[in-house]
Amino acid sequence: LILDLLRAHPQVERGLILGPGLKMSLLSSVVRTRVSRDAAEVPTITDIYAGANWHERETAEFFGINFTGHPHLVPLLLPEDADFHPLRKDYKP
Amino acid sequence: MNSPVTLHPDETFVLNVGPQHPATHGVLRVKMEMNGEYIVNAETVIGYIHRMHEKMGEVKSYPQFLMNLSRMDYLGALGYSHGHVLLVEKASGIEVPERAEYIRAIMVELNRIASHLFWFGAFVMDLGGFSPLMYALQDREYILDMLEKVTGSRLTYCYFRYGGLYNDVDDDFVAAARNFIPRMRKSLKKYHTLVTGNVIFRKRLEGIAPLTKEMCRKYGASSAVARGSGINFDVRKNEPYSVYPEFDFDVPVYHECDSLARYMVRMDEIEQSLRIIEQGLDKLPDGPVMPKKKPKIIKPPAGDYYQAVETARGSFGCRLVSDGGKNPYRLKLRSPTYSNMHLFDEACRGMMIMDALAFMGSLDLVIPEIDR
Repeated sequence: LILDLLRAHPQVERGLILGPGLKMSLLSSVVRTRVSRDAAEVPTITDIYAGANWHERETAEFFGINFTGHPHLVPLLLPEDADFHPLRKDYKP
Repeated sequence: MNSPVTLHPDETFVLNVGPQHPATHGVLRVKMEMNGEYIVNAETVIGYIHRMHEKMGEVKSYPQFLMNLSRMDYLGALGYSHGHVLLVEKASGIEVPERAEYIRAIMVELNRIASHLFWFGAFVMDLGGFSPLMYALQDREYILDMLEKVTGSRLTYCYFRYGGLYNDVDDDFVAAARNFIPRMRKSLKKYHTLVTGNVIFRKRLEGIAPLTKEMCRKYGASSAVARGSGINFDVRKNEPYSVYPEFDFDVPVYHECDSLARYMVRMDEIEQSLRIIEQGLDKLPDGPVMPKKKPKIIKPPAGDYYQAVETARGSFGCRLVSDGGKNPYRLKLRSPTYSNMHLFDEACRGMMIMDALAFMGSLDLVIPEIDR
């Protein structure tokens, strides 16, 4: 299996969160899942692609999606005490 | 390779590198668990200069966001703007005049050389050699002066517009660029004699910090990090965009997987960029640099668009989800160093600290670009 690039592309749309999408460049395939807005939970893929680790942490803090089984799911870019998810469409500053 | 030899095998201590440390070239922090001189475990802490460009992309209209791209990576700013304008042009169906495409490619390659030169100087300085930086900056200065005359700025360019360019190049620029090519080739030779052949330099890099192909794939590494480990991947060749298919250039690939291989890839890339500039100047067509017909307000139709470009630091991906409005619905910026840096934690285990810092230098980090 060739995996060259990995990008998490989550988005919030009409009450549902679509995400995370992975783009594998050499395969040119995109994987998508849907999760509900209120109980957003996706199993982690860090055990398959270690490179997903930071992408999942970023997605978790920006969108409030819980990645079950992630080894170290703490905020990456936001301050460690941040309790908001700035990229959600229902976020009010 | 590096097996820890110590009198107290269980005794470790935590060493905090950064967030303000010269070796990290910016505000990056690495918590290293050390056993003597050897690293047992490392954890990279990023986000010190996080500015939330993706949110800004959502709340600003397209032209307002354009200048943000060059603030992401201050050394190779044009490559990032290129990715974004290509994406928006693709999404809204704007035709770009051929002359503008060629000038863009020339500018991006000049910027790539400037970025590699600065990296070269800083990298050798990390290893203890100060004078190569001065030589590198001299050549870089020449490029910056050239770009300044045309774009109006020296570092954070906002030169590309949706559909074309802000300013056409003049004969002075073309002459200066032509002069630059032999000058840079001469300098490259000088660098190879001065630095590449140096025994101390080679001993610090050869066989140090081996990155396997699998590791690069697992973490999604690109640029010289992947190409130094034998992965032949360059967006300009693999997913061609703009006028790059018109140019004849090679993608340097090394199979040694060590820090020296990454260094060699970047040095060879300078030569390849020179070749592209040379061909671009020869082929440069006449004509306008902005299209005649261009929508007054950029409103891409609803949809999902993606554009990847090869910047100085690797594959930069820009993804746009549009709902047909004036602002993007979602703008995702995939920065290359983010993935390149990510593998540091795993790769530096068992390394000596000096080697780890040399390895960090060979990754070509620009922190604002990781943090976005």
